[in-house]
Amino acid sequence: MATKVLVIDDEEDYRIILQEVLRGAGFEVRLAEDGEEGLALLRESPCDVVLVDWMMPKMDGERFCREMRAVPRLKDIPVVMITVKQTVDEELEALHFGVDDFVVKPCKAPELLARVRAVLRRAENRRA
Amino acid sequence: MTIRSRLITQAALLQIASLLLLSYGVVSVQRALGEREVLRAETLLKHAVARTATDALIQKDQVQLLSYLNFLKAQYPALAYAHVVWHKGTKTTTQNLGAAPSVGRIDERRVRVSDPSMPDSIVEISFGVDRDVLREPILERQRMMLKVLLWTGSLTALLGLSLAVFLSRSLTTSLVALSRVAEQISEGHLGVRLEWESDDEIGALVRVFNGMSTRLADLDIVKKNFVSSVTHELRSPLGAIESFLPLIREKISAGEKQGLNLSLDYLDRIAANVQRLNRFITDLLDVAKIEQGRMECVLRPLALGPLAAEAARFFEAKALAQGVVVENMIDGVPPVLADADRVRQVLINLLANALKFTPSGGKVRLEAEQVRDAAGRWVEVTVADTGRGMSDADRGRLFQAFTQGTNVNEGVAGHKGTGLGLYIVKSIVAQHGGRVEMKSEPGNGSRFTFSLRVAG
Repeated sequence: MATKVLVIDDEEDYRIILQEVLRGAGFEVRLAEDGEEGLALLRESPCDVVLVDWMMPKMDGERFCREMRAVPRLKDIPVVMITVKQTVDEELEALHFGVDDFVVKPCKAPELLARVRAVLRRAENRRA
Repeated sequence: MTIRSRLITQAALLQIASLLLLSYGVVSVQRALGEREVLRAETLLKHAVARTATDALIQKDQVQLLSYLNFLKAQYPALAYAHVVWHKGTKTTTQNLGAAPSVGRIDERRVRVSDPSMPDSIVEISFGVDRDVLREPILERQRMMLKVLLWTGSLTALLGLSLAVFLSRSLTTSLVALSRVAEQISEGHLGVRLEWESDDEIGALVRVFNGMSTRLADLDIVKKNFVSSVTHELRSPLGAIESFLPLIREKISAGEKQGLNLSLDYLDRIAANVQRLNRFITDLLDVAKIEQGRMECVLRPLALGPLAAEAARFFEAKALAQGVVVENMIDGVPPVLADADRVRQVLINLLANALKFTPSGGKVRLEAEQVRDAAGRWVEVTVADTGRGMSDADRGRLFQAFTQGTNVNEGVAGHKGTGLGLYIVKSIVAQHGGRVEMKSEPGNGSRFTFSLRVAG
């Protein structure tokens, strides 16, 4: 069974790009426009890894992380944050609210895939 | 030299100077008074001696004269000696009381008394007055006075010095605190304030300082907004373009029909992103021009009708796709004095905003009317929408550069925007001498009105 990825980004271009790259690598991709929609999709059926944008309307990446971590069934899903922010302080802040890794926009497809696979592997090891 | 030590030194010098001046004044007054006292005492002595001589002459008693003089010498220590000469006809007798001392300042005085009933009977007394003895009590008083002056002077000096220390401390405490806050600011802690309440100059300085610190913090926020806005607005479309290109390459090399169609779609997306970048950079350059005061507007008579129609047409496709009607009601207003390119820019920015916040089924209207005020005749152009409107708080910061309303993206199609549009609108209209106003209530749409001067 294919690994399921949820992509949450408010910009349509990035949703299309991420979907294309991830599908090309054999992932099953679902898309959401903001944190609220993403949480709703996860409640319907959890996925293996979440890619979430930081700056989004309605519910941003930070609040999404906090709320997802508060749901027992979803709290262990690894999260990769996609952002244009990239200072060390901001990365530390993000690690505090439960992000597993970072990808800085614009990201190269190989790097993105490598990072997604790495967090998946770490999550696998935790479960084992 | 610190302010504190300078204040203390100055206070000390002032104390010493005033003490010296005071002492000098007291001593000179004492000296003048003393001289007069010496003179009076001398006269008194002379009178006493003359009186004694007269009495003795009338009584014809030489022994009594000597005993009187003795008594006087005991009473007046200044009387150093006396030399008496009695003349009676041709007969002369002398008497001596004490001898002239060889040291000291002795002034000799002479008294000559004659008996009116016996004109040949005369007594002549020469006596020495010791001025030092006469002066002694006066000098003594002077010494005491100086001593008292010295004591009270030192006491006041001590008091004055402690007052100066206290004063300088109260003065420098605030300055030291202020410089500490300034140091914090220079280390990057913008917006720190000094809590210091006083009605004096220091209080005023602290208030100005705190205002400056707040302003710096505000500017820092503007700068951060600027950096984050620029980063996002440049990176986001660039990133999209960069990511679409390899996808297109892949699809073209695969050569499948479906992939090639998708590539065309991706190319459109790249074009849209290039447009977005272009718009942003143009806006940035405009803002730079505005900030440097180099935004130039060439004012010529301009018919608004065709320009408004052109702007409305520009958004026709977008409005149609969004399900919004754009109505251009501008007609029959006199030509205005304006720069056509800049007014087009104003209309496009306002229309773009109106469309952005108006949901499907809504309406965007362009209107114009002529008004007259003290400054002359104006045409007021209004762009009104039936969108969600905005709160008072958002209205307040609407026209600042790199600033947007809260929840600006909620329920809005397209990208976030840069927060430059209305800033540019305001600056262009101001350059034309007009004003921009906005009326809105949450849920009831927004109306942006700007005024341009009627030509001629």
